[in-house]
Amino acid sequence: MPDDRPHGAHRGGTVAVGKHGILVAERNAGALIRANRAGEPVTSLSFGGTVGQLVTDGAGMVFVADRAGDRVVRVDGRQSDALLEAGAVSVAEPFGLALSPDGATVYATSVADHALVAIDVPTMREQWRVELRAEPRGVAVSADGKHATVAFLSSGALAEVDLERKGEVVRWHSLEPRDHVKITREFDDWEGGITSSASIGEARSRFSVPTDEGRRHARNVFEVTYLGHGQIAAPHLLSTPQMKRVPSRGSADSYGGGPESIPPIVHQLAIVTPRPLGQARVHISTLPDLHQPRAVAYDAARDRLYVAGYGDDEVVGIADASMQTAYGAWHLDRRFDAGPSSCGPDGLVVDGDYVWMHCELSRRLVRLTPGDFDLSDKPWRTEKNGVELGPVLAASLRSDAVERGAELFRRGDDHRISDGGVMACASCHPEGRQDGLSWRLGGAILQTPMLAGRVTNTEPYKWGGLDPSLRASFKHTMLRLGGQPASIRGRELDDLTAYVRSLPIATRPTVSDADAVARGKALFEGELGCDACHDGDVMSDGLQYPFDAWGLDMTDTPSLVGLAHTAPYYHDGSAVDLHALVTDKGSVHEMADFSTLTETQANDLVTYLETL
Amino acid sequence: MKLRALLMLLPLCAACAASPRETPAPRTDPQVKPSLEAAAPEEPVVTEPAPSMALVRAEHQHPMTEVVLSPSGASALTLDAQGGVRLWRDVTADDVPIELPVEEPLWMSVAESEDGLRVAFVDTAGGSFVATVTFSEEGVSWRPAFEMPPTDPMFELHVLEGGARILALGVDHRVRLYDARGTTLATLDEHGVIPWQLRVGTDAQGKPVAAAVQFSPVRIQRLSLDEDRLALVGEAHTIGIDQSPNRNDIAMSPDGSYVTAMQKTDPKRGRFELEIIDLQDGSRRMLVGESDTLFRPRVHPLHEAILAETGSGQALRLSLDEAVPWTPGADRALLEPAAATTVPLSGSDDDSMMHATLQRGRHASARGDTLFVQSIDRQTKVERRPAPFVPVAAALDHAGTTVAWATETSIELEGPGGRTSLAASGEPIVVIGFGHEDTLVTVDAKGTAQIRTRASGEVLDEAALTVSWGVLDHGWRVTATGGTVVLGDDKPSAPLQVLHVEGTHFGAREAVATGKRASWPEGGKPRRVDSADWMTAMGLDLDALEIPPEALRTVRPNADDSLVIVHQARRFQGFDRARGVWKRGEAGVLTGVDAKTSKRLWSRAVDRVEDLAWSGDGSRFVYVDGTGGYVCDAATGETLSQR
Repeated sequence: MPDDRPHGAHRGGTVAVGKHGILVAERNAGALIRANRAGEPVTSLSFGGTVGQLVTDGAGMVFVADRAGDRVVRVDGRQSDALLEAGAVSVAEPFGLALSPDGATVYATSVADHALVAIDVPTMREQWRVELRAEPRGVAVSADGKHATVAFLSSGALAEVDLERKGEVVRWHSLEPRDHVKITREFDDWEGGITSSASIGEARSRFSVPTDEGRRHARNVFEVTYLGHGQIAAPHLLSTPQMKRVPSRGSADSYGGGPESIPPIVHQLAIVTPRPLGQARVHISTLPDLHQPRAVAYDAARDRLYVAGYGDDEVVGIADASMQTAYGAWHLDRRFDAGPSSCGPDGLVVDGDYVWMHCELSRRLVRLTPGDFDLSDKPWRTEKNGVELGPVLAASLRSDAVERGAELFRRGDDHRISDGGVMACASCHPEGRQDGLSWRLGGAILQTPMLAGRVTNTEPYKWGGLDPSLRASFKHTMLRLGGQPASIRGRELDDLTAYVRSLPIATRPTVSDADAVARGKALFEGELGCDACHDGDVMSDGLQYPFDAWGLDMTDTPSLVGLAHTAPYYHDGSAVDLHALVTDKGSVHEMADFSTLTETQANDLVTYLETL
Repeated sequence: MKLRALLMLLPLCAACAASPRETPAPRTDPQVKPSLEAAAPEEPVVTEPAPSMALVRAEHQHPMTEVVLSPSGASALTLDAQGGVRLWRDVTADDVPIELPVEEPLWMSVAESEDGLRVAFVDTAGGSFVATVTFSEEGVSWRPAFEMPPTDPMFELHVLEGGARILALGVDHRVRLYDARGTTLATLDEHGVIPWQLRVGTDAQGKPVAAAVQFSPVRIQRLSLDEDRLALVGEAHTIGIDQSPNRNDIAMSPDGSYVTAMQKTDPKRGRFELEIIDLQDGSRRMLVGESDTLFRPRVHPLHEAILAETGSGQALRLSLDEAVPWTPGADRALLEPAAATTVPLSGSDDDSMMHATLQRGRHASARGDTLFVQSIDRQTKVERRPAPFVPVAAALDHAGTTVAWATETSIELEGPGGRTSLAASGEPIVVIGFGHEDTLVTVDAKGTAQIRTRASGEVLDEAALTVSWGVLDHGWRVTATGGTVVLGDDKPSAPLQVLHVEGTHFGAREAVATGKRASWPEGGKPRRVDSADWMTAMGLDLDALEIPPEALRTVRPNADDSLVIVHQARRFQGFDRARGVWKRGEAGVLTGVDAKTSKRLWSRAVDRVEDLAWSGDGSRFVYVDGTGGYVCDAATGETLSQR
């Protein structure tokens, strides 16, 4: 049932309907902007660096995640001609925001601290926090204000936090399916050829050899929203990183086994129905028309959900969203040219009969008019009219080359980048970070590396150190993806280079025990001698070593920058966390002698590693 | 699999009580090595004080794919292809299994406990949880005990015999021992010890025993759980197997005295070799078997023998007495297959045997909708399959606690007192209702209406209604003095018939004019009446409910007209880009509506609805569709029980 209470204020986004117009958190301009209903900028407040989400109480108060400034800022927007900073609280790299139904508490996700932070609105002081897991992004508060659900980029589960118990109780809702993708090979006796096909079937018996082959993982949940009945909508990607390898394929190696009938990544929407004492029920829908579904908006009055594809600028309207028989009923085809003027939607909000979409790449607002969902006609029909494109809201803080690179990085459906355009760079490296998965690459199982802050002065690239430059690495990756790197122009490679080099270093978690960090550092640089290889600003000597690493002849010393955010560890993801790594429970055992570490020393070392 | 559909458009469709750092008393034979500085893992979240929820009994709706027996072999958990989980309290009893509020677990375990049955699961993201299922006269209840987040993911979670302890293996390769409240009793976290799998059993004294499988090289390490401490016992034993470690090739005897390591190196022969490693003294023996198939056998170590399922519907029983002393590296080819006896296993084939379990001499496997349970020694067997049951009509009593199901051949009453059956008249029943004075009112497809006693089925009165082309919409409404049967005909010109019931006898009958049919919504919307007008006549706003006019099927108010159930059949269509095909279809939806406010309360997906009826008090409703019969809560639409 659609809930009567307004849901808009219960979660934030990059765009919101405010008292005097449309509010935009313009991340690449580092500003909060208010626009009129023609999508034209009216006033703004600069933060000087990238911002996360905003949330408004609808009465003029706005809260902004000053991501670069490590603050959650309260902005007084009650006057129609000004946005004035009116208090702030320190939160390490905030991103997602949501407001309690009574407007008394704002909840913020801290990317750096992997936490949900509750902030008292009148005093703008932190009330409590709960540590969740790496890469939190959007957050939404339930209509009754009792729960907040947090989305993550590198986890297959959502965290539902009990707000009444101040985060003491957290329930996790898995979005991942049990069944696997299976590749079967068929021999054609007439032609002598071999064909393969993919299907989805039950997981292997627990009495068979355990394998991750065919297992699927939900990733890249940027935003969540509550629907009626306390249900939670979570658009995401479903990745199959280790499909069965088909040796007959021409490519030397391939992501996820190649372009089978079930691609290595599909785009989905999960509708999660929590049950108080049991596991949540999860309904999954594929979103075949969207690439990298990210932004969501819920129209409570009509029980409609809108989802936008960050990778292809398309929007889907889903009718009866809170019903068991929700169905896609409206679809906006891409109508934005490729290149810097394309959209890259990162925000949606319902405004009466309209839906506002914010374009991250072109920094514009687009007003959509879905109209009636006419079931008696062709429900897949694309709405041809009612798309109003606003002007550029603000100048970007990024260079033109970085902007172009950002557009290419997120672009889906580009056959040059991947086979069939199924995968984009941002599919596995959302925001230039990593999905926490280990992918089959030819004969090796290799973990997705973090790019942000790790690509300058860290050549050569790839886990084996195979690529001497970023350009070579891009082309190599596109080849692995089944794309056509030869068709990528030199300037495009330069743009991609500019973009990934512009990605900021992941913010280090807040240090709670400086003494432990110092002791851990002493171990790292002393007894263990880790700094013999992991040294310098990027914590890498740029050399390769012959570790006994399955699938790799040589292993390139990886940068350790942002280590706290990149679990699991080692080239194959075999150490589930840093504690497993320093207690020698990964697949690499020759790197350092951890056998003499006491429990305290192991904990100190982990504490230090988390600060890199 | 998660409930799945293609959109676009297929709808979707406590602190350590005994720190492992404390050095246990030195032991001699076997040598017990205490676990070293174990870092306590993240404490599980204890959900207290434990509230509970009622569970319902329901058969699997999809083929079963896994069976896990409790250590005693008395109870079992089964998993189906859609991820549904059922609990069988007594696998030999003839009752419907209990549906658990669990979705497609990666791991499940069950054991009898003092307060019922303890169950443990690992979900698809690595999160895990433990709950207790209790049984009382009021019914079956589910009470969560504790859970661990996916930030501390688990490979395995074993409820040990007695249900008081849970042994877990984390993805961080730490072994942990919990009590039933989730208190960490011990952790095994030693440098150089990297367990990938556990084997669990119960020794002759009733104490839990366990062993850990390590890789590179493959070894089996005996563990001690004595006094709620986790410790390594003796040295790890190297294991020789011909494929990567798995639960079949490396299996432990029920009492933990030995493990078997199977090799089957020649895929074109039935020969397989079982190396038997004594976990007490490390001595080794060898047994060779000759299978009647080329499948890799499914190995079940027993106390005195090893049972090897071959996939042909039987198992080979190889006595341990036939095993010969063995030194690793000796020539296996010189060994002759041992004599074996055969044990027929119903339900065993090459697929199901890889999902079968054996505990305390009881073997369980599943194939399709049938659970096969067989005692190995006594040769008794039970096949549990849902009885064929195709309801065509249903009714609820006033409180909604007793349901009457009408099938093609019988009437079945199901309530707190159990089930009773009455013979049907021979014609398919289309209307059934609870009347006054413990009676049932029925109308069959030919229009024969009967009033009969609930106890014996004795017919007290009979009347004939006219059926021209066939019965279309129909219903039963309880009144203060009896009730009313409503029957609509498929023939457009045929009037809606209403037959009154007074006590235990039929009374007047009347034909309802089209203009007055809104008073009898059970009879359905007349063809010529606009859906919006029809809804308006019901006091509902079609537009406000966002129900497409062409999707409206029937509207069914409860006795006091406070709640209305709207039956829709919605069309959908869209392009499945992954498969390159257009998808079209019709999806049934039942929507509960507050009649006063026209607000939707809930919706639920249904198949083709054959019958729908309210309980007299309006708290519940029952419907029958192509997938079975469902009793639901009127306020939430949730299923309370199903057949």
